[in-house]
Amino acid sequence: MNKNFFYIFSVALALLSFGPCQLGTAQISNYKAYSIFIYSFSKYVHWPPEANNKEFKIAVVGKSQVFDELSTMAQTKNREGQKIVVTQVNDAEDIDFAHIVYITEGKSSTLAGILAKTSTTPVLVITERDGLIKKGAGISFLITEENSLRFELNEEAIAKRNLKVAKNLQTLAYKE
Amino acid sequence: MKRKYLWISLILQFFLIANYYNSQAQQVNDSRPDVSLDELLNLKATEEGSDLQKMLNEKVTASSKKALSLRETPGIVSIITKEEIKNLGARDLVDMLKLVPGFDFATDVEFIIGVGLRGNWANEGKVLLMVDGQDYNEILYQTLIFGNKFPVDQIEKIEIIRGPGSSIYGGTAEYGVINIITKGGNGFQGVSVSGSYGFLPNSYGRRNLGITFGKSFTEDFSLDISLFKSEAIKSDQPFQDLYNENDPVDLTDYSNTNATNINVGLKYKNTKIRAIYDGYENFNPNFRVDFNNYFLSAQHTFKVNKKFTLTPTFNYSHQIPWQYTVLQTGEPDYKVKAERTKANVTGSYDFTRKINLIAGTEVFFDKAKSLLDDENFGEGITNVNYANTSFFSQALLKYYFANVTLGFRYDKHSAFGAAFVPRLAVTKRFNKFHFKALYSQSYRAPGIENINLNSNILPERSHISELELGYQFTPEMILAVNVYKINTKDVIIYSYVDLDDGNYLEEYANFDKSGTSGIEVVYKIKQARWNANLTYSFYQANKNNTVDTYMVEPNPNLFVAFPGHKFTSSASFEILHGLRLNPSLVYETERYGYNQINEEEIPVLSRFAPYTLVNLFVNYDLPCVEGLTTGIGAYDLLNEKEPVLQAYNGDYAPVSGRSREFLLKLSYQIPFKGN
Repeated sequence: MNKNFFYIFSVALALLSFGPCQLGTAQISNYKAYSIFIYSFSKYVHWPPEANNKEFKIAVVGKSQVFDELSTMAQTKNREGQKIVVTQVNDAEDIDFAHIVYITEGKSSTLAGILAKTSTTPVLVITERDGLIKKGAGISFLITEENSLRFELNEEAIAKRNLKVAKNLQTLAYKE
Repeated sequence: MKRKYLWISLILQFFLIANYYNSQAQQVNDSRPDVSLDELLNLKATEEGSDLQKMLNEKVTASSKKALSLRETPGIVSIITKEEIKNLGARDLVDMLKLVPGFDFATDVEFIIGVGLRGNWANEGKVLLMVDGQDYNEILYQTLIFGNKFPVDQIEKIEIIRGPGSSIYGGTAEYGVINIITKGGNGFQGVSVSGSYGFLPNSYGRRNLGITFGKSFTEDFSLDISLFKSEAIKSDQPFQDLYNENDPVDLTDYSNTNATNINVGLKYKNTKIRAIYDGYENFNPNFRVDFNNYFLSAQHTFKVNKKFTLTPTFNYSHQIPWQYTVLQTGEPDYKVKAERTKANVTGSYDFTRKINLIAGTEVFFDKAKSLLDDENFGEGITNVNYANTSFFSQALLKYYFANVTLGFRYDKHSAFGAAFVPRLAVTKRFNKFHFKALYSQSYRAPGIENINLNSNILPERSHISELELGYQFTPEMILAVNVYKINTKDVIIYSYVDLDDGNYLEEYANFDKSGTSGIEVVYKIKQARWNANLTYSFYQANKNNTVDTYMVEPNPNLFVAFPGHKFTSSASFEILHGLRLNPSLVYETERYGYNQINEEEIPVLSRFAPYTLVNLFVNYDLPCVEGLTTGIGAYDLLNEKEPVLQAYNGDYAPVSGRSREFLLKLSYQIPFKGN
């Protein structure tokens, strides 16, 4: 009898797990906050004149709700008159030119390839994973003990790509 | 069996309905105002729009000396909040702990109620209970006493580790930890008064009164005072002793408990001082058993620099637990005073944001003195003294793929020798999914009387493995499932034999092996106007168990007194503004207990059928007076009167259950202005 009960419970649990997976769409990580940060980076980082096209392109590498949030934002906002265009790609090979390349947590291993492919272009490479500025990213997000979303800057890597970071954004960057 | 299918079906339907309504509520707000640079600093990494999310984001300290969020802390943890206590109209801490997976209650001797955890009798040194940082287990036997004892309405939050805590807390936390933070201890600012009265058919069930005052007089100085007085009866039913030596008695007159608690705290800058008096009188047909315990602590935190803090703590406790008085004659029968003086220094250093190291040392001295019997500790010995020295350390490494906690504690006791308990925990949250893989050794230190009754007693040792998987479907809904395996060696077991001269001989001895394995499931949903918690827990006794006093021959998967399966549900619905309807339910499968003797006058086990405890509490925040809440409720609506079984073969018949109880509660809270 105990075994029956246990099996039934397991099946019930499996069903329950399946049901909410289909129904639940809300996010736990606050990707809206990530998108607000990325939009702020676009305003407080200066690209060279040759990169000032009609469109401001953001490429999201990997599947993430950041893409949805950025896409929603792009419908109502622009960057100093430039239309914001958000695309989602799977890896470095798929990236055409983009002003910002955002690498999602699950695609962190593609950083080296993306850095190599974009090394001569004015691209701001942002990683969701903490600490990747040490491996060449321009900006890495981090989560503090107080659950605040912050970011670290690699000023050298950014400067190499002919980008300039506004002073007030520099002062906001997290430092150990 | 049909009844079980019905339960499963009901649970399933509940989940699906909850999911449906929850998904309807997930309409994302796309309005996105411009955010200034300064405002970026206020953005949180996880959603905090729901009460559940706030709770999950809150840091838990009980399971790690370095605080981590609930889904990443290295322990299987349950949290009980003051809102849940208020909504469910808890009469006692027992009402709340019954709703926690793995927790159950049984009797020890003299109608004393103790705790069982994951199927194991865990009352002596296996579950540590702390109130505002004070260890509440008495130090003669390391027991914990329950039964209308704790001022439940004065509690801010309870953190419960349903797994081992020895590598942090030492030899009183082998199987679990209950960390109670009172409103006063949490910095409550104001005055709060609460009272409750319970009605049984022919008697009062309980009458409790409590008051809390807390105030910050300056930015640096604050004071809190809490007072609590309670009277209750354990049962209003007839009771027959196991050997039929006496006539049945009505427990209305013979199962009283009286509790008194005074808790005073002072805080000045980084220094905290706390003093607690905890008194408890417990009656049964033969004895009155008193517990009079005083606790004092002082702690200062030196923030040496941004990365390093040093925290010295001093504790002193003066206790007279288990003081026996024979009711018939009024003669005292057992009275031993025990004192513990403890000093602890703990340092915490953040090497980087991702690497933290904690290390410290602790020393305590125990003294016990018999106040009645010159022979209590041996011929002509009225005093005993022991010392214990500890070293402990914990490293927390936060990798992107996992948080790794490595820790150990080493204790050296002057009587029973050394104990070394390491632990390893790997935890991580990946957005909606989280996992915890935990391994820990733990131990139970023999108490003063355990050593007195067997000078060769060894510490009891456990190896405990746990794995939890959790999925947070939405900010309002989470499901967590964990499995565990407990292997305990050198199990410390109490026994006694009657002597021909009418006296008896008590003993504590190490038995070879015991333990359980099982599964626990927790589902929580918190919406703005309603919330629900569902839990399920299952255990089975290890096959290699050698402790015969726990064994159940008719069902070897069980231990005495504890059911194999437990299902609980509790919910709260705001049906009108300020008016909440709060049902709760506990269903337990069959149990076995000793309640009769055979022809040779040897106690034999009986089966106790599954039972369902149904409660309903309604509370109302009166609109005319802000802060005034009134509530009325009924407990054990089905009038099951389930008896509380003794957790081992100890010659005590089960304590008869209580009748359905109606409760009236009133609380009034006046916050001080500016807070």
